[in-house]
Amino acid sequence: MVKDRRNIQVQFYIISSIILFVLMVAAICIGRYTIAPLDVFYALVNPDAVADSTIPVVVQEVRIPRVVLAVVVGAGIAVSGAALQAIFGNPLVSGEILGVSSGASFGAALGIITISSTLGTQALAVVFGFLAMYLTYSIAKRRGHVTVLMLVLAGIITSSVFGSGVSLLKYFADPQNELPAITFWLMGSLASASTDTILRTIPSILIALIFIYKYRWQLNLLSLDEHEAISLGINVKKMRIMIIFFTTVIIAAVVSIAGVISFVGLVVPHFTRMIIGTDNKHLVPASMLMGAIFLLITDTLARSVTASEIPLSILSSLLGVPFFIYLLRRTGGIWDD
Amino acid sequence: MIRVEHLNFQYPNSDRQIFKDLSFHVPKGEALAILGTNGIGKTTFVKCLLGFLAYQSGDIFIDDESVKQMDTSKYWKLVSYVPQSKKAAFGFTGLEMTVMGLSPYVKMGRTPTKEDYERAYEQLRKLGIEHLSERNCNKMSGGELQMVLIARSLIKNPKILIMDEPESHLDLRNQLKILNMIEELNSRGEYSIIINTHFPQHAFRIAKSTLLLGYDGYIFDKTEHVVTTRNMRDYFGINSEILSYERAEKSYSTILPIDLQNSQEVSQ
Repeated sequence: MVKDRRNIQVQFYIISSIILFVLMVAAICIGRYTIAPLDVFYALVNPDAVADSTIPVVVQEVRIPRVVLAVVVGAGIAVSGAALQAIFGNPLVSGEILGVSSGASFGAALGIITISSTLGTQALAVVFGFLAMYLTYSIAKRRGHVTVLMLVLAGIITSSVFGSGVSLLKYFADPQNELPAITFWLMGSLASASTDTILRTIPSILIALIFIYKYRWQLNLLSLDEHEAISLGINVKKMRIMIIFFTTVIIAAVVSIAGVISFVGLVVPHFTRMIIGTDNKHLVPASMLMGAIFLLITDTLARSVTASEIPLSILSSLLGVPFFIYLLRRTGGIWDD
Repeated sequence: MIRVEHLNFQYPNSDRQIFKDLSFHVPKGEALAILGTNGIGKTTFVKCLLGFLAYQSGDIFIDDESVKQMDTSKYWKLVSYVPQSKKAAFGFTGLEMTVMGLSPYVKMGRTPTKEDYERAYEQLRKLGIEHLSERNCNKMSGGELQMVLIARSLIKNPKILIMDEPESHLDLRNQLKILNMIEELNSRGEYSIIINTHFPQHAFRIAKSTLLLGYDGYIFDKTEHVVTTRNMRDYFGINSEILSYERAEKSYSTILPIDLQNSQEVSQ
């Protein structure tokens, strides 16, 4: 039995890594300007050997940054969902449901209007992301306990508070430049991908990912009843704050470059759990792979199906919602496996 | 061995002192049963013992070392807590659940090693429940899950075991399984066991001494001196008989509740 499970895990890592690699190559080839896989190889190894001189430029400066961004953002959102679900001991939680994405959106929108630096926008997104998390948690907490219902309701409240904030900012925004920028960005898009944005935003996501990955087994303990977790010998308060910090960094960084990408944080960890089990030791790395695969497919569709780009959130919801409905119907909202 | 001295506790916004000047000790290789009516403060007391609630005064010693001076990581290497079995948010397997008991020895930011998992399997095997290692904890029966939780508490070789009503939601057969398990742990002579229970007859079976909590004080003594018809009347408000039965040179005692104390007064 133990061997069977380990085999499934090993198979999962091998197969999904291969799928991810193939998809990355495919995503570099696909686009309004189709490139042969061999040309992609030459464009990287020996750009002068490619007959069409625009190919290396497209590959290096457009496609690769975009594919890398999709992979990192997808992995980031999926892991933030898995980690939040663990620390709240609640499978119905994600950055979106807790209102963190909303808070971060407000911060980022504020950044777009007041300061136009990327770093400043990101910092504001992080600050308001935290504020939203704090607000949700304080509303939900009654006599030291946080129930599923209260957490979800508090998330709705927080989301609507920051949602109105964003509407207010839009109302006052300059309709020529700022308003379209905010609106389009809010719907989610990786169109801003460039070597420059990658260098400025990916490091914070990667650092947070590494930390959550390192503490992934401790997430198992945090998902238990609080007293039980303490009695197993971990510092629950410190760990929770740390995990909340890193998930908020991921969510805020993602929101500030790509807007709100719906449903990935909620659905991908569930889907992964169905394949690989609940142990976060495997769930965290597996969610990274699945999140990357999911967002890469979604983003490639978003930019290649029609002549103009479809906002990411529209596609990720269209793909994620049916699956979530299936999960809800199948389990009646109670997750056992 | 665990020794509790002059413990006092009161909730911040309440007049009622839950316990006053409470002292007792549980030597190695013995079990203590905690009895008392609903709401008397058994759970509160266990929470104090585990440090989840802060007591106003008094001290607790483990092997003559005050827990106040002990750092938490050392404390949780010595003390194991077995909660009541209930479903968790996520269904871990029996093995995954058991290996969590080694957490005080797994450094932060590390995962358990292959040897740790082997040790967890060995622990399940020792309790005769290795068939649960790959089963989903949320799909186990209450008794099975309780056994896994006991396995999780034993894997770190603690000195003190604190169990919160481990047998309360179980059927008779599973109750016996848990009681036998505790007797077996007692006979190893390695642990001081403290059990919160609703059943005086279980105290007879497994606990050498009993702590009976009441509104105006407590009794701590050998179980046969604590679980008496008189104390049952004073502390539980019931009339009862103590029955003994011998079989294969072992004697079993139980308590037979007859009726409520005041209902008899009414009928007289």
